[in-house]
Amino acid sequence: MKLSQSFTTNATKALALLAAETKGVMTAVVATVDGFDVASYSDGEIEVQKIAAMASSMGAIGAVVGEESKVGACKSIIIEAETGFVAMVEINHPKYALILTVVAHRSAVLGQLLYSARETAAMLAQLEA
Amino acid sequence: MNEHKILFTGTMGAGKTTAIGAISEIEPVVTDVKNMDARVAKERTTVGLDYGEVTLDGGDKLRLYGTPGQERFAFMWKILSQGALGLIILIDNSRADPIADLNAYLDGFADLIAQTSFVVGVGRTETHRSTDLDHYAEALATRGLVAPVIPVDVRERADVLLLIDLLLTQLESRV
Repeated sequence: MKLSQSFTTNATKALALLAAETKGVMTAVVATVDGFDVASYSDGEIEVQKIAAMASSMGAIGAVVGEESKVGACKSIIIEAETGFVAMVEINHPKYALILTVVAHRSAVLGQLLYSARETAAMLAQLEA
Repeated sequence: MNEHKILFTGTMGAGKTTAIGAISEIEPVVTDVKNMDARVAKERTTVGLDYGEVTLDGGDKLRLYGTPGQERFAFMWKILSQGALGLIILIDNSRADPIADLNAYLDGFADLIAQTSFVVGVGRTETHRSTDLDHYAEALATRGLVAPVIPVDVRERADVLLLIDLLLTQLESRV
């Protein structure tokens, strides 16, 4: 599985920008739907490979839960945890099926976090891969 | 009437999703996605879990769970092991080193195996004969484990039911 080097470079920049402009962001990972990380921004404490594999499972489970519950395709998954949030957003890239995961501190504003994650996902979807 | 959870694991492409689909009496829940790993020639792969149900002749109901095969999903192995009555390991005999594959699952599911029983189903034995069933039994014996090892075609309902039958027999003999 290989996306182009320019995709990885540009995606890494986009994730760094997301982290710089959104309060509380600690880690952001772009992963393929089958669980490989292709770009990441991390403060170093979180293993991005694991996050990539988990985003894949969560995305697939979210998709069947949406279907079985008759509420349609899964767009995002939000985990509200004790000291932070994890948001997973699908990236509608024309060539590759990808997922963006953003891990944020509790100081993040959830609405803003989701908005920024979606904006970044939309931007990543435009990148040449 | 009892309900039990049975777990299917094993090599990517060995047919975990197919096995559950072959015997489930409900439309199985499948979480497969497009496979992007060029090392494995496979269109789609399970990344979450598979789920199906089957009722046995005696009226007992089995809930069938399938795991992803790849080790990067080992966190799902742990989650899905919780409360499982027994484990079915499916191995693809056409792979380069199927005994190493078996050992990876024996390691990955060591906690569950220590508490319960398991069986091994080996696929593609007709077309790939370099590893025979005795090799599998030897690999188990080396680790002090004993379990049935049989050739299976997971597309065949009867083969999958035989695996379950053997597993349940193993479990009964433990009590």
